[in-house]
Amino acid sequence: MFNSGISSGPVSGDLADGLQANISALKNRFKNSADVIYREFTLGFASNPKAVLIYIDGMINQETTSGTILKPLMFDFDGRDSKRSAGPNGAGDMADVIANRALPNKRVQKAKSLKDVVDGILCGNTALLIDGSAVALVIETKGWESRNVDEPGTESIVRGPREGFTENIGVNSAMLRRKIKDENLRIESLELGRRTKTLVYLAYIDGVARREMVNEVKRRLNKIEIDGVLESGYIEQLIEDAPRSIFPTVGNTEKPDVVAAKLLEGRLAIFVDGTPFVLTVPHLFVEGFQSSEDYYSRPYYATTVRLVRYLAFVIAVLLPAGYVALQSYSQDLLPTPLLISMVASREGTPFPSYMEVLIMGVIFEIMREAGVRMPGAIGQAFSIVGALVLGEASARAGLVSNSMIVVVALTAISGFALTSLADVIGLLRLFFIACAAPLGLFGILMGGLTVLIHMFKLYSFGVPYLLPIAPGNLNDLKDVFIRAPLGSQVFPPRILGHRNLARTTSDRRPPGKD
Amino acid sequence: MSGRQLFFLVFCTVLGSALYGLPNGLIYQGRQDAWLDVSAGLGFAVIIALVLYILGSRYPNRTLFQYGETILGKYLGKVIGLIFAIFFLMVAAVLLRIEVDFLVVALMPETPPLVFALAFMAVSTYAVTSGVEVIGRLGELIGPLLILAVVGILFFTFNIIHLENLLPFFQENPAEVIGHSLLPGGWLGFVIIAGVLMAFQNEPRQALKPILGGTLTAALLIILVLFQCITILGVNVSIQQIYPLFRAVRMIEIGDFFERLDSMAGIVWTAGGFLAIVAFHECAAIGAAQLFKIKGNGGKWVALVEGLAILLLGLFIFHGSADRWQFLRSVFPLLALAVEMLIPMLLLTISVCRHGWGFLGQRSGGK
Repeated sequence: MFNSGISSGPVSGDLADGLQANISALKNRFKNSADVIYREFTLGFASNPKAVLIYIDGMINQETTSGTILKPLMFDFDGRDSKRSAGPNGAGDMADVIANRALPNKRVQKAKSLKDVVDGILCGNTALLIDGSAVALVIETKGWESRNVDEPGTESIVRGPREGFTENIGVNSAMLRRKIKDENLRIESLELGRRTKTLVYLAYIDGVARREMVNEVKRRLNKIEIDGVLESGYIEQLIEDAPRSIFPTVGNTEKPDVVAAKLLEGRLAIFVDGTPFVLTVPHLFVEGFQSSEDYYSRPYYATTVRLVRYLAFVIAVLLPAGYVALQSYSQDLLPTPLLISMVASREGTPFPSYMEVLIMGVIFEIMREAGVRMPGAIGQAFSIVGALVLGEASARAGLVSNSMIVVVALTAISGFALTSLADVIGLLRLFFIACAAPLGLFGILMGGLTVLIHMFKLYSFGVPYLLPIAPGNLNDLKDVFIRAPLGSQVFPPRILGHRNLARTTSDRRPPGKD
Repeated sequence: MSGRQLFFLVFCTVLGSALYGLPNGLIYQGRQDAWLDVSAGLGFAVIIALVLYILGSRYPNRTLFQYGETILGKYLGKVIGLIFAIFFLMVAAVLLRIEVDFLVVALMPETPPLVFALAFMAVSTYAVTSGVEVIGRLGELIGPLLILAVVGILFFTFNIIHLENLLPFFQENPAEVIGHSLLPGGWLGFVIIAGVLMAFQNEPRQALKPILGGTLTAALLIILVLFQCITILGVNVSIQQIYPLFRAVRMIEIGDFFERLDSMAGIVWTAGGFLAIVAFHECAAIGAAQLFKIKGNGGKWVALVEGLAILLLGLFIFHGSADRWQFLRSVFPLLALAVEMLIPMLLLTISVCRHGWGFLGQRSGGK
């Protein structure tokens, strides 16, 4: 079984028989909590015992509570059933009878300890306490306002499903189930966070994901000891292989079809309640260059687009550094006409090229951050200041060269092509500028080798981060720089899934040529 | 470490620094027949590779440094191991110096050599502390790039080659060929690193193909490079230039737009040369760790100390480029071949005398 090894606080003690004792015990727990509602009533007719419903306002669905709990208990329940079937224990069985015969609700659990009742109420369930019974019923009534299924903001596509995950974990896992209707799809749950008690699901396909990997992920999840999990980022940072590396070894996505694709390749997904971002592990470097759309469009175009992404990565990381190296050290590499126009544009600018790159880079980063955070209403003013004043005017005034503005703009646009690698790109860019400023192309080479060595040392849940580039694997390379036609991607990536699991055996010959 | 990684590592180690270390010297010796010398030198390398392979399969999972102890006993064996370790250290230093000189002369004349050497050894130490596997993957990535850089040149030189420069053929007599083959032989003998790296192979018994393949590919590309230099520049200019291939690449012009590609090519070669330094640095570090029985975290300190040693040795080993060529032409070939070929052959002979041909090493158990 997959139980969280975390005890949740010091709440303990069993329920008492008397209703008032239990109520005061609970009121003692929920001190100064105006949103905890205690609804006292009598079961059925006057001769029956009193009962109380306890729930938190706003976390329950009012209709469920009144329709499936209050109405049947107050109007339909006559108590004779319970007296007839009451055994020697008397009122102890009252809870059983009510649960079995009087509550038309999807899920009712019996709770004997105060802790279970408190936990249930905090989760958005309703607790039913009956006078004379030491057993409480925790009835599923969760229901709170949440966002509708919507198109995700971070991963826009042209072709493919538009739905994205929501903040509600139940909706999210259902979206995954709807994609993969296989009884081998496992969704195991655990609770993380001493105080937030966040629900976390671990999803994988049994028989496709490797058992050792599943166990390793569970082991790391169970080791987490933290007071609160507010977003999947918390979990990501607590389970990743290399917390001190700039490269992410845990992936995240907002799209159910992406998660389904990753599960089919033998990966695992971690859903966290309260966030639309679902984690996928293991996460390899090349995944940053893959998009779900690659698989929905036809292979030639998808391959071209993918190659363009690699190009964009190289430009975004290396262009400013390369510019500095060429400008300061290896001018002879530039074709003569280009060199002449570049030198002409640098005429009269006061800063050395690496200073220019750094200044413009920093200004661009500030603009980007401001663009993300600012209210939409001032967008127009912002773009005027950004584009005209900083770009056009600074070049006119002779503060920075025109070619530098081209470099910075090209770098920025290329960076936008790969949103999932944006943070890595920004840091690498700075690193390479620092290498190129004193040593030129040689510095870039040495910096590149350092980064490569670092990446060779990285693993994501036992899988080399740079797989399948190094160590090389021809079968898996079909989905790295190119996107081979679906019929030829017959196996899941070697190291991830089981080896002999053909994914498609469809006959791809054109019709009529048998 | 996989077979492919071993292949590329051997290939890069041999070719990486040969690109600017060798052509000038080879053409100086053999003129148009330099390729003949390289082919003869390949004979030495094949012998070395075979001897290493037989030793490796007789003593699986042991390195060059441990054969001696197993075959000759503790003290004599340690001496042999030490000779190898010092040789690796020395070669790393020589290669470092060749690299740094190339960078200073050809790419960035105003930067002090110390800066380059420091950068090389810092990154090299980082690679060595990361382990054999990382270096294997580095080779797997740089190797194809190096092949591309050398073979790619070919496609852009069709308009500037003069095939008549290759004539006359076969001017050397056999004795000269043998004499001139020592330099390329010693260089191709860098395959000796396989004697250390083979122990980290997944399947040591299938190591022969990658080792021989790596050496052969490197030798072929060296010959290709010689032909490129001679056809583009002619023999006399090639001898005058310290880095003839570099000069030849400078002649390339693609569509009136891309010219002077030499610094780009130089950077790619530097990557190969770097890998050669790393390979010898790694082997020397493994050797020291095994000889002095240093384990665990101590291995990182060994790598660091050896990195410093290579740095200092590399900076002070030659007085200038004349001194360097003198060393490479007269001292290096004999020294290299003695260590790379004679000692392993000696070890194998004694091993055969002691244990017979059928011996496969397993029954000797542990150490």
